Amino acid sequence: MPADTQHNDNEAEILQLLQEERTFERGFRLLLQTYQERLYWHIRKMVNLHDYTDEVLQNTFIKIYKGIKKFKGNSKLYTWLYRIATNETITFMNKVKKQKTTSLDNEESGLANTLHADSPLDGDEIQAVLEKAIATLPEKQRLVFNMRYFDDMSYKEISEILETSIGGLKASYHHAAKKIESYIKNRI
Amino acid sequence: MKDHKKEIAEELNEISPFLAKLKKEKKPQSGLPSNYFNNFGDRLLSRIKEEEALTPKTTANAKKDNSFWAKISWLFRPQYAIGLATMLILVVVGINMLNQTPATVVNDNPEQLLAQLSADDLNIYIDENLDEFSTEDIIETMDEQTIEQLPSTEKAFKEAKATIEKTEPIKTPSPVVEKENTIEIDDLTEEDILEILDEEEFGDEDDII
Repeated sequence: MPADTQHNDNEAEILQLLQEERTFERGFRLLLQTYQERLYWHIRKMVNLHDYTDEVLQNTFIKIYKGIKKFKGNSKLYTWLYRIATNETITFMNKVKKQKTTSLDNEESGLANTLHADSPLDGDEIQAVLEKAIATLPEKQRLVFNMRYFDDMSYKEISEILETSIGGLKASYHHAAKKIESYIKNRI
Repeated sequence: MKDHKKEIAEELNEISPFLAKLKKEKKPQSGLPSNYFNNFGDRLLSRIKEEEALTPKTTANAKKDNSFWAKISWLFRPQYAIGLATMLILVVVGINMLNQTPATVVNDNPEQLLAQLSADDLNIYIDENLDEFSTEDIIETMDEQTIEQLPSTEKAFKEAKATIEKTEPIKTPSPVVEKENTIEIDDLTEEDILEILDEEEFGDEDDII
């Protein structure tokens, strides 16, 4: 069975279980098991620290739990989940930014510095530099690069999540890749 | 899906071959507490149930009391009620003040007093005291319609001229003729005077003296 068809079948099963009060919790647990890891890494690539990621992931699934009955099925379920996770991540980052009362540039370098505070995502040194390079990117470029580079998402899917034009996304991805390459090459 | 991944890989290879190579060498992500995903669901659901346990009463109450009075009950809280009462008092007082008319108004402004008179009263007064008014004053009392109804100067002049032409001119005696008929007494002799008196039939000499 093709992966896309399997994915759609899973979504349909989850949504059916969520429709009835009796099977709601089972459906929600199935949704958690299916998407928690993907959403975790999506968030973590933005906020870097595990504790931050855990907080944002919990907030994301609480929003999903409360709002799943309002999901109309106009988009794919996982696109909707990514959108909520992205919004929660941005909200969290803005909150941290406000608390630190630093400028945007300082915030970018601040997030990059958190990579030193926690263990690197990958033990490999070059992966650590890659993560640091990503952390220096502007918010939108970082989101697009992560979704494309790590999650292999199509531009159409990313545009549905970020509600941005595909042309704009391509430009963002291109700029992000060039900046990261330059950053890493200057440090190794 | 495989085509989709291939397309992404090709795009990256075009933009940055360095990053494309790095992606192929990518190792599995780590840095997670052990059993994190196994426990995450339970932790999350217990948190949701705790939050629900704290909020259901308020939700139930809100659903129960959905009447009109419940909706406007906030108006009766002290902080709103005081403001509302003050506003009502001000509105009532304001309306009363607007409706109130003064019992006697002493108006001694001559222009306003004149304006209160009717046109007929004014005309009667002007007729009775015509000598006290100049032509300008009289014209001022006339309204536009009355003034328009008056004959124009030019028309009046023509009418007057036509009337004059129709009538016979008054003949005055020529001064020359008068001079010819005039008899100077110094030019007369005594006989001439007696003759004239005879012609005029004065009678006796006593009448003459």
